[in-house]
Amino acid sequence: MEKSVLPLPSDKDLKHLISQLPDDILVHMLSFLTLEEAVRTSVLSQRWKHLWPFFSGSLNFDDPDTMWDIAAKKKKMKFGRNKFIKRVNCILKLLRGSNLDEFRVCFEFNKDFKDLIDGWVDFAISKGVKRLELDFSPTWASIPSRPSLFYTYM
Amino acid sequence: MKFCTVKQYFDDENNNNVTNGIATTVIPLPNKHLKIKANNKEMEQYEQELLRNVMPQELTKLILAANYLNFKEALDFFCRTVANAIQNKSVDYVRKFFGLESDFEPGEEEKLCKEFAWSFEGVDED
Repeated sequence: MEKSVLPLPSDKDLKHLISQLPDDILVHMLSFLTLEEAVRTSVLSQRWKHLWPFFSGSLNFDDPDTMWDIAAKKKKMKFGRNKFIKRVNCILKLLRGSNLDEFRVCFEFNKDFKDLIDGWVDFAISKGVKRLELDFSPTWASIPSRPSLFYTYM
Repeated sequence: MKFCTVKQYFDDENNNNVTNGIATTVIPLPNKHLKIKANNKEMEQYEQELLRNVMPQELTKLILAANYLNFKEALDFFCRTVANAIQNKSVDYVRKFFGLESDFEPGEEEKLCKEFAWSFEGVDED
C-alpha cells in the first residue's frame, strides 16, 4: 500500500484537541501499530510514556537477523537466544493491559525450554489472544525443519 | 444498535460535541463499509483518499465524534488511519503530527530512548 505523507499541522488548537482524546482511545490507536512503534511513543511526552504498556495489538517476537547470524556462525546460539528471552520477558513484565490480539514467537527453542514457553503461553492465554503462533523451527542451515504450531481462536 | 447516540444527537438541539461537518463524514460510513466490505483494495483506496483530504486535526475531531456516537467501526477506521499516518515515523514527526511538546525533565527522554533503543531501529527519515 502506497504510504501517504500528511502535511504537518501548524494549528495550535491541535494540542487542545489531542488532550481531549481519552487515554483508552489513544491506547486503541496504538493497537494498530507494531509493538516497536507503540513503545516508541513513550518518548513523545509524559502522558504517552504511560500509554504503551496498555498495548493490546499484536505481540510479535522474532529476530530473523539474529537467526541468520547464528546460521552464518557469526553469533553463538546461546548468546542470541538469551538476548531474545531477556527481551521477551522484559516486555511481558512491562505490559499492563488486559487484552492482546495476537502473540507470536519465532525463534529456535528445544524441549529444554519447555517451562519458559509454557509461561509465555499462559501469559498469552491470560490476555485472551485471538491468535497464538509458536514457530520453533531451527535456523535454515542443514537441519530439517520441525513442525510449527498455529492456533487461531475465533 | 450502531447509532445509539445519533438519535440523542438529533434530539438535542444544542449539541456542540459533533459539528454538522463531522457528522456528514461519520454517519455515511456504515453504508460505505457495507458497499465495499468485500473489496479490500477499494477500502484501501478510500482510506488513502480520506488521508489525502483530511488534516490531522480533522481526524482527531472524527475520532472524538465516532467515540461520542458510540460507533465502533468508524472509530476503528479513523484510529487505524492515524496509526498508518504515524507508522514508522520519527518522534519529531509524530510530535508535530499531534501538536505535542516534550515535557520531560532534561535527560529523561534520552534515558527512555536508551531503555527502548531496540524499538528505534529502522525508523523512516523525515
